[in-house]
Amino acid sequence: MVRSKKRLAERSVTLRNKELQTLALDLEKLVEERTLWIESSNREQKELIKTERQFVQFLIEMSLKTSQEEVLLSFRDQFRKLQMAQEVFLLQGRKLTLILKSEKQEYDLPESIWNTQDVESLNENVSRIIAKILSRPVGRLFIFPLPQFENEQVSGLLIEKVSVKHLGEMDYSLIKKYVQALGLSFERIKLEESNRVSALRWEKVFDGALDPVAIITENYDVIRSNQSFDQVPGKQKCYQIWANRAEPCDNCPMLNSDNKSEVAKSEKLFQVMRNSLTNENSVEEKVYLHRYVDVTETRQAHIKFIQNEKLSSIGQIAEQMAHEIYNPLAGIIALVQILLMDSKHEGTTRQDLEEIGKAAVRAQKVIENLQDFVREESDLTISNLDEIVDKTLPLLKMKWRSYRLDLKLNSAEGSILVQPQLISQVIYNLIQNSCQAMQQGQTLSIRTQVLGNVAQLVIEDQGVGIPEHLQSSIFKPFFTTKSLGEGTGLGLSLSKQIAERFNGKLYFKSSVGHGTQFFLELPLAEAH
Amino acid sequence: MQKPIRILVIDDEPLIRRAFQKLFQKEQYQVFLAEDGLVGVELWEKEKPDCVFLDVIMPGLNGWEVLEKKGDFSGAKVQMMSAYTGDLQDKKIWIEKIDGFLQKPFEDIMKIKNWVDNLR
Repeated sequence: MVRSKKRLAERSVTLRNKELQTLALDLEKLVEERTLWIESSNREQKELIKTERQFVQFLIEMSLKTSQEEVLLSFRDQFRKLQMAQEVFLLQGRKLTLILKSEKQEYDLPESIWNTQDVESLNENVSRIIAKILSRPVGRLFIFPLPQFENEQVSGLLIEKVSVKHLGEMDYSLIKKYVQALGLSFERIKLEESNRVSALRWEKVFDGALDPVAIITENYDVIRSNQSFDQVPGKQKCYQIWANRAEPCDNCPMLNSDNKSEVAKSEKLFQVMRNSLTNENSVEEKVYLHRYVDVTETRQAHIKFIQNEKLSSIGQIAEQMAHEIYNPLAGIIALVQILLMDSKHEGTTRQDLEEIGKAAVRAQKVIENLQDFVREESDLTISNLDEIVDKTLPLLKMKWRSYRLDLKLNSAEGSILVQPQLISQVIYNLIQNSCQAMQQGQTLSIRTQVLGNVAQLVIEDQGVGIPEHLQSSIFKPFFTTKSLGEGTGLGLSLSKQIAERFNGKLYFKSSVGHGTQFFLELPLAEAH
Repeated sequence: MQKPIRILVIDDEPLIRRAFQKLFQKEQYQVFLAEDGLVGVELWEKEKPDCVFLDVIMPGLNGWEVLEKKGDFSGAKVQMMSAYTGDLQDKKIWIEKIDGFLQKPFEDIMKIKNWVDNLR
């Protein structure tokens, strides 16, 4: 009994053990299953993360590419690495692009390949052509559409897969992601290219402009300039670079807030045009575009034209005046001569008549001189400075009559070969300038003498003198200290030109506060 | 008593006419004065002067037009007078026919008197 009880108990334990074993096994299985599941899910997770990482890496790579070929090439390499493609082709309208040995190749496809709606037969058509190009059998082609750009033909990406296996759902979505990224890269490159082209075009225009152009801040700092503007290392301010000055140019548009002004630079005159590049109300530093147009020649021509016009209209007036005045003058002179023949006019009456006659002759001379002065072209004539000064002075009487005139002419013997009316214009200019420098009651001294083989004229005023810093400029064209409309700034430069035309010299000595002496020297005719 | 020399002065400037009248006021001269070209042609026809002093620039008929209108000089010696020293190129045909050209103002009135006296 005891035995049987014992056996029973043993059996029961064994059963229990078995049950436990089964349970343990089940548990073990469960755990194993669980573990497996977790492991596999981990692997998948890892795989997914890896794929994502690869994709991100690809995106970064793409963003650095600067051309379609590079993008395409890197796309192909990526797909080879992923073992998802052998080759990729770009299909744009009728153009097929592929990368062979890292080089872009383009082929025109026949129009007929598009004559089908069926993707399969399109694939077959293209496949045949590619096989011909590559001289090898072509794997299965998958076509993925690419985003279309403006004005562009339909485009797509062909992916050649070597494995016969069809693409799975996962593969499709992955490839789509890559293709989308490729499309975006293409788009970016297109935009960058068009930006670069227009930037380049702008730069070419900017640099190619013959006129100096510069972008300048309101503090005269040059931000950018073209080749004509010049570049001086270490110099930042526009006036340092362009005009070689220590301070802003006189009359700079920056100073007078006009958008256009004329600025003299060395021997030239520039029109400076200004455009604001910043908003009127902006609180930032204002930036301007300055354009410099050399108007030296046109202005010189214009002023000469006006002067010629002036002279020629004076000439016409002089001609008419001469006729109108000469007639009564002829009558006066003739009558005086007749009356003087009559012996009954004696004493003061005779003197009166003589004076009337002299005055009439003087009037006649003034008209003659005026006609000479404005005569357009005259021949080289033997003359002398005294004669020319004599003829010029009456024309200037209005100018010098408020000053004391100290006239000592001693060069009647000094014959010079000149166009007298031009020398007369020089003397006119010099006397006019001297008068403008003087105060009422001061003395204007005019002297001539023969010095060796030159005839010399010295015109001396007691005016304010020419400040030292201006002395080097006064013969430069367009240099003027007079207000607008008073002087052209050409008088002295033209005078110097005239003096030099007859192998002469025009120069000056000036001391501030004491006056200025102008010297005109012309070679004697014998000395030629 | 010699026949007086007949002198016609055609000039719009009264002072010139007056000067000529005074210059030739003696009885051996007879002076006719015209203040413009039309009167001048009329007097020239009517009075048959020995010499004519003819101004060039005048209102109405100018000096050259007077010569054209007159056609022949009716035996008169002609002196043109002008303050104008312009181009005379197209006046050559007349310049050959006239006796002289006096520039105004006259250099010396006595020369004119001598020329007239020499006509005798």
